[in-house]
Amino acid sequence: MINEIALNDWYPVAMASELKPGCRLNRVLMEREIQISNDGDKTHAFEGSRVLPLQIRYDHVWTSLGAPARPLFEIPEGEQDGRRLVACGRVHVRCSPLRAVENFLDIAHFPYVHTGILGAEDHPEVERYDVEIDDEKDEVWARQVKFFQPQAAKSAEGGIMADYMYRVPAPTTSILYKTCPARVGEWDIITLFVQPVSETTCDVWPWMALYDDETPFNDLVQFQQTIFMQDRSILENQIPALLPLDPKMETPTRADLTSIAYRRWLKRRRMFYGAQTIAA
Amino acid sequence: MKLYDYVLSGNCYKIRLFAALLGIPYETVAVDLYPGKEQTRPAFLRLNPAGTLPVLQDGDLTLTDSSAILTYLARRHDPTGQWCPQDPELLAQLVGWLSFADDLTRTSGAARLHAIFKKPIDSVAAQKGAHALLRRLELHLCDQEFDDSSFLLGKAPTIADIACFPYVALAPDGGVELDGYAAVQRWIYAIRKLDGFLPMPGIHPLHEHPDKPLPEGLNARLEA
Amino acid sequence: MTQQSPSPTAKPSSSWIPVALSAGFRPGSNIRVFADGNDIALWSSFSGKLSAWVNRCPHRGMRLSHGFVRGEMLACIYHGWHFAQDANCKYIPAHPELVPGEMICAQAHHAHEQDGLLWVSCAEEEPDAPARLPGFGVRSLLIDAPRPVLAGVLEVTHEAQGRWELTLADQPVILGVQDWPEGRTGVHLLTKEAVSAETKKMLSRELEAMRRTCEAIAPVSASASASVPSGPSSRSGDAA
Repeated sequence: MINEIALNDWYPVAMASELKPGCRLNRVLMEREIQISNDGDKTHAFEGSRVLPLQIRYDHVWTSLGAPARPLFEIPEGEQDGRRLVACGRVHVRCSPLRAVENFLDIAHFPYVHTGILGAEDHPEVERYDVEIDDEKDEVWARQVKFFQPQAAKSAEGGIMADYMYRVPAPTTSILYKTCPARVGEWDIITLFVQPVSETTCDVWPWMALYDDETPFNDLVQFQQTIFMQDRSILENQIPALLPLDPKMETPTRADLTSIAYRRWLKRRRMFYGAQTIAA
Repeated sequence: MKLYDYVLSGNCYKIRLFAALLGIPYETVAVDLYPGKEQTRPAFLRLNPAGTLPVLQDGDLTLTDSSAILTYLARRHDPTGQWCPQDPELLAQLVGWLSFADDLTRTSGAARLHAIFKKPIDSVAAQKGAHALLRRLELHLCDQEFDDSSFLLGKAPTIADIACFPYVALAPDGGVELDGYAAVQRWIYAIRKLDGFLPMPGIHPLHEHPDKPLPEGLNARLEA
Repeated sequence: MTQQSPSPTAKPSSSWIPVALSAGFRPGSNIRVFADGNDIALWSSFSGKLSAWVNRCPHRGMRLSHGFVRGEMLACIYHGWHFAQDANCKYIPAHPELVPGEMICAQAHHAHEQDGLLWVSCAEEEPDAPARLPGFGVRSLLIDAPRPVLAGVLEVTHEAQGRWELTLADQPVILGVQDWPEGRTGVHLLTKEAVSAETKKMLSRELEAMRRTCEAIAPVSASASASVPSGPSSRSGDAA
């Protein structure tokens, strides 16, 4: 069921670079078929003959099936000068859009799923970190996250203790702020924009805003694609496919504080598209 | 030696895996197959008019087919002849499996491209085709096991195994599950267990290797 | 197969179900099998102890059949949680010092090895062992046809707890029979006496001939031999 909350949010449906004059892109958003077209001058989104709201930001095309209750979230750092903006295309996954976001918020899986890149089996410990639901901004934040990483980024050499912050500005978007190897004191930004195709399938659009003038563009894209394709084989094998919101369904630990807050926040906002609200 | 490479391509992975097993050094050039479709642009087409990956350049030599590249690397870098045997019977079988590997690309590989990137193909037909090939592979691997052999051509791996491995092991990415193919699963294990094995996204390293002890913290607690 | 959840309607039967051959199931193996419609991780420890668990990690729902065996434990591939033979979680890598409470555990079914077959029972109480019928494993095979079709094609001379006795190419053989989801059937072929590699190859082909006959009678829908991703995306022609 698509409730109002889900209906009225903004979702990514294409990369801005796909908008060639005369193009017509067919997409599925929450089980509904929509079209994105460009007449050489302007870009439009339709569901049948109905015109949908549309905006282009962060290198992606955003639309909504309803009347968006709030503007698209801001990523001010992403629009700073000197950053390289990297849109990585989309990957289709047979999992709940919410499971895809939750996996992105999780660091404890790095040693086993991203072995030798984002984690190492002899450094699996997740130290305490801070999590809050920011009521004013209506966002989830995790701060002071630290984790040992053998190769934290394409431009990183050797293992480091990486510092992370996570931010969930919308139920199907997650932003990671990560130690920037090239510029001390700045954060690299890696986001996961998720397009819900159905409650159990989604298209994932990773996007990055990095301080990195050295690494070839293709290497940056393929580093991110490597990471996400490692996650994909996990995401397609979680049972149930929907994200369970009943705390009795799954067993979190202290390392999962971000995920606990995320589920609580979804429940509080009544965002149930892709969620299992009653235990099977 | 230079490999034009796309990290999610099973055909490129064949070369990376084989080079890792033989310890052959090379440099890579990442080609933006997706989303950039760089293989369709003029610069790449001048390198390989077929517009496919991988491409290997070694001095003046340019090779554009994964089976051709495997054959070249084996003949050039494996003095034992294990990986590309010259015995008439074995060589003939090997060529047959290289062809089988291309059939896997057209079925399992295509189903995977559809599942991941929505490549517009008949996905159900591709999945059925993949299962038909997996049944043939299962039958052959059962025969090999009856003869106490773990690999396609005998007791030692050859480039036939390397060529067939990626789109079998990656089949679940395209919705082709391997449950029920017991001998195929054992063969995948035998390849993952080879010294120098290199994983790729969708194919895990061998976490269950018998030489790996339990985690230190757990061991200490169990002994206490 | 499709990404199938354990069916809530599956009724546990009281008996043992043959799910694999002992031959080839080396210590450290971990595979996905089905019994009574349940999705199960079947694994063997390094010392050879067999376990059959609900195929779901209690932490984040990951299929345990994707995990890996370490010594006498099974670890989940997602976060490396280690579970011992008693199904209790012994180690959570994110908190190496933590001793997990007994509440944190996988769910175990019953597993049993006998007469060349691996058996699973989803009954609450462990049933009595199957009747003895020694066999030598040849190979397993998945058939896109339901059990009654096989029963109609084969001349079964004797049936005993999940096993059929019959003659295949003049060889007295045993067939362990296992229902799979979506109207498919798993069979596990054993000979009554040790036979040569050549005989095994011949029987393997005879078994495939039998499969062709069964599948010609009862072609299972396309979805059984090639899983179709669910959701409208797979039929929308969404190709940019």
